[in-house]
Amino acid sequence: MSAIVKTVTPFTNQDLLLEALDELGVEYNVVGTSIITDRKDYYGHQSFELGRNGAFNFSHDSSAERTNYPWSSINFREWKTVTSFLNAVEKAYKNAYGRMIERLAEEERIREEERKKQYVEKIRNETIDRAKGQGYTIKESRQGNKVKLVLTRTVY
Amino acid sequence: MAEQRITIEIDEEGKIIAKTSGFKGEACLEELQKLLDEEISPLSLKPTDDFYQKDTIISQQKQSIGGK
Repeated sequence: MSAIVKTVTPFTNQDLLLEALDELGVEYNVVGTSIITDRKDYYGHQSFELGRNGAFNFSHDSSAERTNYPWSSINFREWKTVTSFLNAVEKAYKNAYGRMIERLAEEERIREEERKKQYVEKIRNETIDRAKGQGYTIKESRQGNKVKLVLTRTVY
Repeated sequence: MAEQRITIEIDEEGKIIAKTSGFKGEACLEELQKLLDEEISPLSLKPTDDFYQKDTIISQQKQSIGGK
């Protein structure tokens, strides 16, 4: 017998996994390193357990993969099999990952803007100090983040 | 009695445009060097007519030194 085994994206980030479950409307409780979902099979609540591999692995009754699962299947909703559920979680997890990358990029952009503002202020302050020392009269105007300094002095 | 004027514009990226007037010859560059951070390297320099005029005070001093 041949088989092709395909795994889902490893759920290594708990925050993203919770965000994904939120997106799918799956209820859960976080208990230690377990994320216990509201999906229930013969053995109880299906859960994500943090494994030694550093990823959250889905723990469930192995028979719950069958579409005609004979035991009680509470809150399975449109994801009747484990595979279909994990595929949905994977998709939502990837969406959450994309949003995280956008957030990080935005945060970095804000930090870079702040660094530039500080740089401009440093140049401004140092130039004004030196100009005062050289006997200049200083007039300053601003347009947004732009600074204009007009330094004048009279020489004899 | 003459007025020396330096206009310094610092944009939001930290780029600087400096315009001088009332200086003769390379005195404007020396003055800018005193005012601006030494680490700032100028990208371009566009001399005005004043740039090519000799500083009369400096030339007078040189003449008097040479005359001794």
